[in-house]
Amino acid sequence: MTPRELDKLYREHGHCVLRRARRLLKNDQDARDVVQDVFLAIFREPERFEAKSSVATYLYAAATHACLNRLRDGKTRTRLVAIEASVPRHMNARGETRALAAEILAGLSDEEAALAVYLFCDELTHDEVAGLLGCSRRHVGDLATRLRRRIMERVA
Amino acid sequence: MIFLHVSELSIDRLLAGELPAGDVAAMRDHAAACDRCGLLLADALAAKREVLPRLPLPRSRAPYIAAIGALAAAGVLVASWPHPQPTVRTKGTPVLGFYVSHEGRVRLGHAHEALDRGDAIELYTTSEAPKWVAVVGADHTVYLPPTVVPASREHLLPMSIVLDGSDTLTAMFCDERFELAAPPSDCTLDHVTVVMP
Repeated sequence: MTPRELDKLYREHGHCVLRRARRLLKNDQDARDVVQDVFLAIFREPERFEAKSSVATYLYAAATHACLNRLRDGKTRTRLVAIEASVPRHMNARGETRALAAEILAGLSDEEAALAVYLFCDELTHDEVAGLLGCSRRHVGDLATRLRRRIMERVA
Repeated sequence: MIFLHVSELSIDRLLAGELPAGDVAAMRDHAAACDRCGLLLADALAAKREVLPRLPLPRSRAPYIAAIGALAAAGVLVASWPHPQPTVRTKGTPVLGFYVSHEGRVRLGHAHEALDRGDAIELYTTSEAPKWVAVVGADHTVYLPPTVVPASREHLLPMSIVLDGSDTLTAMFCDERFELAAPPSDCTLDHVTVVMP
């Protein structure tokens, strides 16, 4: 991918990544950093991007992973606040519930954390998650079952 | 297609033109009738209108090497420049500095800065008066042909560079426009060295 092609991709789709990062990180500067991370990663490893049929799906997953990495690498307090704030308002969760959710999320692997965000924060369908993970809907169902079990174990 | 609610992912796919026409119509109908999804869509459209800052795009050497051809083998021409010496900076003389962009994070560069493969460097000049400046690499690659820079504590040059190995970049600062092959004798030099293990 040439710099010109990358710039075109950034101009056309950067706003989606920025919006996604803002929602997950609740911090505009961090979100803008994530946008750069995502697009410069494409420049470094274009083959990972070019193998995907849906630009939007690839960028959505890449933005999610970049945000989770940033949350994981940041201070715990920052992470807790950010993840807590990303819980949808309509869930109307109480503070301690949100804190527990944040703690659980922090204890998951990268893949599990992304899956948890897709299922419980974004409320994506298994079809959509399958597109993001590049697997079958049935496999997403299996992963979701396993994830719920893990979460229940942690809660217990 | 029946939507319970519009997901952010489906909005992204809508804006990317990846959804079939039927799904687009169903989504718009749903968003028109659902406050939550209407707000999500409006927010996405507003974000799309935002002007994004310039991406610090790495530039390969190729365009500059092409530029050398246009300058009639400038590599040979700039060979007449003095070889960079260990920097002894006199107060008031213009300075070449740089930032390193590593995986999207930017740090100030220092002498003999160690770079990782894929890191981009962005050059800046510090000068008490407007100057003409040109920047070349140790192998005489022309990174910046003679260009005016303003008086500034930190003026970012309109370029970023991804190197494929260690290099010393030399900047020549002159009061007037100059030819790479024949800079005036009163010009000053500054350089930065980066190391790629």
